[in-house]
Amino acid sequence: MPRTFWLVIPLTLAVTGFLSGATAAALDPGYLEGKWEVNAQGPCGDKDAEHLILRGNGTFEYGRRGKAEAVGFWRIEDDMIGFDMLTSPAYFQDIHPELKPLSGYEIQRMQAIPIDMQQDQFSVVASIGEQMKQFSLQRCQ
Amino acid sequence: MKIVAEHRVIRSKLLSAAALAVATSMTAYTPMATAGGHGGAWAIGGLLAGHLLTDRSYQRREQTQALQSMAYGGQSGGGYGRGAARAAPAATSMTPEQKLQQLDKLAAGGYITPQEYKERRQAILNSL
Repeated sequence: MPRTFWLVIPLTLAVTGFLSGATAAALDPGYLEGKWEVNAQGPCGDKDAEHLILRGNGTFEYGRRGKAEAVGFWRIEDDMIGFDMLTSPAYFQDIHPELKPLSGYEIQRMQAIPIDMQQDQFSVVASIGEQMKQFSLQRCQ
Repeated sequence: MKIVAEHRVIRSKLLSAAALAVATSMTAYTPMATAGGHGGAWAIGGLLAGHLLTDRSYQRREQTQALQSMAYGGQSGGGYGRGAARAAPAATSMTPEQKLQQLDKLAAGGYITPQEYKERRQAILNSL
């Protein structure tokens, strides 16, 4: 039994490594470019879902319900994706009603660490200031 | 010089490792399925809204602190951390005219009530 046990562990690790290696994707602009749906609940294409469009020219758009709510520039920074964006607190009144009386535009910066990168989907741990959240992205086109 | 550079590299690697550790632990304890795309749990939207809100709260606290320092002759009682350190010098270096202008801005921005505006304005005028 012990001998079998010590044979199974490396074998399992090798198979897991091979499988993950076969499906893993590299963090490069070519991979990231395109339209992504955030935390997709089913087939991509939900008009109301959060979307992130990363363009080849370095600009991006974030939106909900088909409406753009943040626009700016994105780039790969070492192992992370950096986003510099222009947005308005007024867009997020539905999430935090306290933001209601505020208007105008503000510059914000988000950094995202990609994890579990697959061919057409990956997850990120993103932070803006002291706020941090994990979510998944599924390629739409 | 070389030692300093090496220390920087090591520190940078340690930070990356820490970030990865945080990311990995979050992956383990917060499954994707719990963060629904919409219907109350927006991912990026929630992140942005949360940050904008806390950022605004901080600004409001800081302005309130500045206002208190202004109205009470720079006698700041502390208590707001970052705001206290920055507000006090600003209050001592401002002229009454500047204080009134800032007060007008605070009122226009909805940071203080009309009653508070009247009281603070009177306090500035009384200090002349």
